[in-house]
Amino acid sequence: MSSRFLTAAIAVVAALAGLALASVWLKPGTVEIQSGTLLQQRRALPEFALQGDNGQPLTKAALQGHWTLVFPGYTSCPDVCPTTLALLKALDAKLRAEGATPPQMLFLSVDPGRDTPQRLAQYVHYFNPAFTAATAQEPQLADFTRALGIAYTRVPSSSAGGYTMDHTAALVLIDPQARLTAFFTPPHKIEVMASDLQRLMGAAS
Amino acid sequence: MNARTMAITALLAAALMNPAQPAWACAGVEASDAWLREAPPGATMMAGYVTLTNRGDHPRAVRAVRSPDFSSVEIHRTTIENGEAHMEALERLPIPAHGEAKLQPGGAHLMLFEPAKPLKAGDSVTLNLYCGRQKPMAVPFTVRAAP
Repeated sequence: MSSRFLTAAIAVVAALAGLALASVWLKPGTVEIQSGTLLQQRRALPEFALQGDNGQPLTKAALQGHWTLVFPGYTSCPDVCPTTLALLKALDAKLRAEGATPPQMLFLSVDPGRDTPQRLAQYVHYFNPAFTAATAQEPQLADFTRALGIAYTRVPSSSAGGYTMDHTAALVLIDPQARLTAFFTPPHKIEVMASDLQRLMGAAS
Repeated sequence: MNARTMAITALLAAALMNPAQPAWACAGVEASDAWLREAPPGATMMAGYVTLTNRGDHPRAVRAVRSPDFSSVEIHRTTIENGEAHMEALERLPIPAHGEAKLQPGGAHLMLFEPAKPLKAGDSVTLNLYCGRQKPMAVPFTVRAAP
């Protein structure tokens, strides 16, 4: 096979992949949400194996049958992460008060070096005993976050904390068929998110 | 702590600061709404928030924060750029003349490492804010479970 043919083949594949992505990401929506971005075509997640906060494996099966809201973060983050978890606690309470079943909240740690399952359990249960958490070692974490459209970077720091993690500030909504459905982007507003979630979870997929 | 230990501690603290900076204190600066966010059990870091108002004609800047209740305290800022949350350490927190510096959730905050004892909502701790080498401003912070 000539290298020219190979280059052309790669270009064609890349173009097709780009078109496929563009059709998912750029297609104008018929249903809209106010608090983020709704994927017009829901994207099935691949199989994955995370480590749950109970120390047991957490696989794709755990996301089936209910809505899930994933929040990427890490526990050595005393400002924005607790702020967001407190917001999710209030969102959970608001949806329950409105008679809705809130999505399962899943705190996804992008810092498996420091966040053990025990530490994650203590952390999320402080906010709400029904919240769950998970992390994974590499390359499982990179694979799963890529499928979710989440980015993270370990940033070395002269701070006493040693290093910090940059991470996507969005919340990721997954439907009961374990398909990527929407991104909620900051600043997060409880009322707007609650009404968006009610509409999404109430509507047939 | 006896007087001699205190003097040595003060000297050490002074030596750790940049000797090039002028020796003025936080004159004219008032602190309000000073609070620490109660941390989940096992957390080794906490965040602190406060509003610093400069009533004076001279700009001030907090250059260091120390407290016997924490192993160290840093000034950090959370920024969200291109959808990514990022945290950076600040060397100083400027408070303009007749202006204010607001430390609040999702923005600039104090990062408090390794509390000496578990802190619960309702507890109070004192943080020493240094604008210069001398005379820290002692500010009482209340622990809150608020968002």
